[in-house]
Amino acid sequence: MSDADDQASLAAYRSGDRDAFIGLVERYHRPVYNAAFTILRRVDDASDVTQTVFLRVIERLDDYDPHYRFFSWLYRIAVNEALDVLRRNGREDPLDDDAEVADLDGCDPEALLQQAQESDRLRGCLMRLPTGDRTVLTLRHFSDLSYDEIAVILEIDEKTVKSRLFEARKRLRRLMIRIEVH
Amino acid sequence: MQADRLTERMHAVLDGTATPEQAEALRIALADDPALASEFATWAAVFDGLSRMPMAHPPEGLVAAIATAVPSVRERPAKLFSDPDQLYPGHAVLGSGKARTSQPFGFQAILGRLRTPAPTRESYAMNTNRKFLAGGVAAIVALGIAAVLVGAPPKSADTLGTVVPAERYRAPQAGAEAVKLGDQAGAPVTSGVVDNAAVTAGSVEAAARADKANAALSADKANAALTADKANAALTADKASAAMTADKASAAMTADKASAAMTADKASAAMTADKASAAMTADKASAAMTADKAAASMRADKANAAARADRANAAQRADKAATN
Repeated sequence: MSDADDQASLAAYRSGDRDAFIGLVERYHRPVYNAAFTILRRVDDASDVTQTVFLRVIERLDDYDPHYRFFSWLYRIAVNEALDVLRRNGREDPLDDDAEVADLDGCDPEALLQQAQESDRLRGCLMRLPTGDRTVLTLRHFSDLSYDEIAVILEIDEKTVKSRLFEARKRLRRLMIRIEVH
Repeated sequence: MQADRLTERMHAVLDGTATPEQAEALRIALADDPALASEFATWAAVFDGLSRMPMAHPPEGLVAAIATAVPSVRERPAKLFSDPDQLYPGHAVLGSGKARTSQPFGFQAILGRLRTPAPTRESYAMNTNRKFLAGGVAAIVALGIAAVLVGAPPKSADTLGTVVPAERYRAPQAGAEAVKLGDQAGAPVTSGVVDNAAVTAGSVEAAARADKANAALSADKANAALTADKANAALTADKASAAMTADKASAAMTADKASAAMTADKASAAMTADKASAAMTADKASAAMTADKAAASMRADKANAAARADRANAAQRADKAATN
């Protein structure tokens, strides 16, 4: 799905096609949920934020600048909402162990198991990082946003985005080594 | 290249943001340095792991819940949430130093919000609810009157060409001959009741949305109550923790006092033992002196006795000598 499809869906919704917007929800609810969950680490909070994000899109539809990718704008709202919840809670909650992780594609059960174990280990390390690290890594590695888009979302310059990603990856790797040793 | 610069270059290559010249320079450096190549392979594994990590599944029903709340564009209110601080242009996130605090946080702030719930989702739901209810009531009244006027249910031929959802009551298209203003029993019909089919569909849909808005409001109230319960539980836990800390301090003080008392008792007992020991030593010395005196007395007695015996012997010899 391209950004042109997203823009067309928004235009259709503005013209009265409610199903067009629901199509956007079906298309992006999972990455939005994952962005929120990576920041908040709680299933309930991430679900609430996901719902809020799409309602905010509707509220601010008239403010949306089509020069930006819809997905980038959606992510900006998602990150802001998630960080708002984090600030209101006043503290980071412990990781929600009940989160359901996706099944991996593939046919070989052993390879699947190994891949799942490695992914679980990596996810565990990721969730132990500070909020800022988790946020930039999610935006870059799981949402495939450009440095420029990340800079707009986080309201920092591109050089700072690169610097934060660099430091976050180094901390992630140190954590992975530490967990491997123990 | 310094280590950090090299690592940055590796990240740029793995991230797909390096220029061709930068990528070539790194390739040459890796070819000449096996340790560097190993380091690059480790980073490649990290990047690969991150790209292959699957996304978590959202809970079942999330899409349906969101879809239920999506209004049609005609019904889209100007603002879903009434907090002006939450408008899009005013957002600030990380690193900008302009952290937006549209709502304060912290325990007292949470209590404050619980006492006076934020006029956001609730007010929206209530305002929307009132509009839907008002519209629904007006539509139902109009429907009832139209039903009296034109008869129900309509035959299928009367509804040809009317685009309405199935299973809903479909009043026939209102025309000038069907709607008689003011000449029937019951309340007069206003000229606003024209498109009965659209009003019917809209009223049922509005009533359904009103129900959903009510359900959302109830859920929000339940969430607010749950948040209040959590805050109270946290406060109770904090009080209990403070009480335990006070008890521990008190117990520590008591233990210290007992320990000091025991130390004093030990010192006292030691002093008593020393005294007894000194007394015993004195007694022994005294007894020794007494024994010495007795021994000396016995020796003196023996010497006297020996002297008397000598004198007696000397006297006998003198007597013998005199006799002879």
